[in-house]
Amino acid sequence: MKWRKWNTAWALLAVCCGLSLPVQAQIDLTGTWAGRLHEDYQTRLTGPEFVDYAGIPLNKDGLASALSYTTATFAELDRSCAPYPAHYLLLGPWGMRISPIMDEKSGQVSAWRVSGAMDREAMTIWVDGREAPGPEALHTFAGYSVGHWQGNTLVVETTHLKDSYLTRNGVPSSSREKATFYFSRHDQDLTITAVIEDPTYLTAPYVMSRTWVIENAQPVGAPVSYCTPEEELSNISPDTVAHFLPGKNTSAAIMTEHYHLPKSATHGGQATMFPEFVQQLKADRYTPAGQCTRYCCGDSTDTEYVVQTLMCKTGP
Amino acid sequence: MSRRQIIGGMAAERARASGRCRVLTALCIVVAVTFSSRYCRGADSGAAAPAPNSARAIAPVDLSGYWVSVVTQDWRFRMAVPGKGEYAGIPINERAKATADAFDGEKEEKAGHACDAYGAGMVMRNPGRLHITWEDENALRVEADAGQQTRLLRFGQSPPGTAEASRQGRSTAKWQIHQIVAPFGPPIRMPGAKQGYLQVSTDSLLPGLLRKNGVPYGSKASMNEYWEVYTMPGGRQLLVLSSRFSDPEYLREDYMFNPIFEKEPDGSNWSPSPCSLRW
Repeated sequence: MKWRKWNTAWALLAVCCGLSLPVQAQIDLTGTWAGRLHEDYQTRLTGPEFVDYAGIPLNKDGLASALSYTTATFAELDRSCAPYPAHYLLLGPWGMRISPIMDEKSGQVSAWRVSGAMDREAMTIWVDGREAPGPEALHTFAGYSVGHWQGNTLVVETTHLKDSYLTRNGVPSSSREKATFYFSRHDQDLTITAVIEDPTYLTAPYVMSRTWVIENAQPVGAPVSYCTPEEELSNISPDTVAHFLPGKNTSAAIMTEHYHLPKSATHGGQATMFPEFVQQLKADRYTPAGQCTRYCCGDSTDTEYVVQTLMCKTGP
Repeated sequence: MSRRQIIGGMAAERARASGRCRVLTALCIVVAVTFSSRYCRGADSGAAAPAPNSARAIAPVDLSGYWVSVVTQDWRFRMAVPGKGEYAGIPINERAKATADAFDGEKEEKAGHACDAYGAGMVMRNPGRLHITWEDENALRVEADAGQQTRLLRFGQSPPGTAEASRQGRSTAKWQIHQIVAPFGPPIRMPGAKQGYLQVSTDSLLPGLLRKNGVPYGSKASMNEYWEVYTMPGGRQLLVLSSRFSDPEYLREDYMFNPIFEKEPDGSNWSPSPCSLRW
C-alpha cells in the first residue's frame, strides 16, 4: 500500500516536472530554400534607390550617416570585400541552404547552419542552450546567434555584429544591433521574420518578413564568391574615406525626380512606418509619377529574365 | 520491542510518509501552475467562457484586438499610389500587363470601383488597422478601417464547390496547433499546450486589384495565408500573414507577400476611411 502511494506520488511528480521542462519542436529546417522577390524587389535585387529610406525608423545620426554614403565606399581597399551583416538574409536576393549540426553523443541538433552567399557570411545558430558571449567578444558580419524553439518557431537572437549597413544604399547599422529572427516553417514554405533593434541609428525596431520555398530540384546553396581586394577607382587612394559632406549628396533628390516622393518620406523615420503617414503625403501634395521607366516589372533573380523584365517584357 | 514502540514507530513512519506526500503534492501544484501559466497565455479574457471544442475554445493564440500595419515592405507601392507601369515584384503575365496598362484610376473611381483595391488580394496590405473579434464560437471577424472592409474567417469544412463571389470571398480557417514533444515518451499533443497558428484559405472572390495602379486579379483567384503571432523583445506582439495568392488568369506563379501588424492596446487610433484609388 505504502509503495503504491509512493509510486503514484513519484509518477505525478515526474509528469508534472516533465511538463514543466523546456519543450522541443519537431521541425526540420533542412533543405535548400529559394527566395521569391515579390516584395521589395528592387531593394533586394538591384539595390534600393539612393536616399530612399522610407519605412526605416532612422534617428538623426542614422540619417546623417546615410546621407554621407557613396558607393565609392566599397572601392576602399579595406571595405571592398566586406559582406553585409546577418540581417542581409532578408535584404538580399539570395536563397539559402539550411543544415543541422548534430551532437553525436546526444543525437540532438546542437546548431543550425544557414549558408552564406556572395555578399553574406554563413550563420551558425546555436540551439544547445549556450548563451551569447560577453559584450567584448569578437564581433563579425555573421554575428553570434543563439536560438530556442517556441512551438514550431525557431527564435534566434543575433548579436556581436560589426558596424556595417542595414540596406545597400548606405543606411548604417552598428555593432550594438540586436537582430531577432523568427523561423516558421509551413509545409513547403519557410517564413523568416526579422526584428532589428539598433539604439545607435534607429528609434524603433525595424521589422521585415519574407518567405522562401523549398527547392528540391536544386540542392545547392547560394553562390559564394572569394573576393580579393583590389583598386577599382583611381581616385580612391588608401588614405581616402569616401563620403558626401552634409548637404552635398548628389542623389538627394532622386526619389522626388523619379517617383514624386517628398523628402518627408524619403528621409525615413518612425512615422513613415505607420498608416498616419498617408496624411503627410496628402499634405505634401503627392501625385503619382508618370510612366515607369526602370525596374518596372522585375520579379526574378534569373539573369535573362531580369534583362527582359527591366525592359518590361513579361512572360506568357 | 514493545507493542507500543511498534505502533509508535508505524505512526512516525506514516507521519513521515504523509509529510513527504504533502511536499510532493505541493511540488506538483507549483509545477502544474507554472505549466498552465506558461501554456495557457493568450486565452480570451473578460468574455463569456467559450463552448468546449469550439474554434474559440481551442485557439492556440489570441488574435483578438486592434492591430496596426507596419509598412516597411513595398513602401512605395503601398503607402502611395505608384505611377503607371510600376509592376515590380508581382509575377504578372502579358494579359495582366495589358489590363494594367489600360487602367485609368480616376475613371474607375468615378465609376464606383475604388473598392476593387480593397478585396482580399490587397486589403491586408493597405496601410490601416485591423479589429479582430469573434463573430461567434467558430468564426473570426476581421475588420479593416482602410476601405471599411470585413473578412469573415469561418472554421470548419466548407461545402464543396465555390460560394457566391464577393470582394472578400469565402475564407475557411483552421488552427494548426503545434505538436509538442515531452522530454520523455512518444510525441504527444499536450493538453493546454497553446502554441500554433491560423491557416486561412480564401476563394470565391470577385475580380479586384493587387496594386492601386491597376494590376488585376480575376474571379478564379484564391489565397492561402498563415497567421503567426510573435512576441518581440520588450513584449510587444507582431502578427505576420505569410500569404500566397494564386490566379491562373493573371499571374505566372503564386504571388507571395507578408503583411505585418503590431498589436495596439486599444481602438483609440481606429480611423475608418472610404475606398480610394488616389490614396
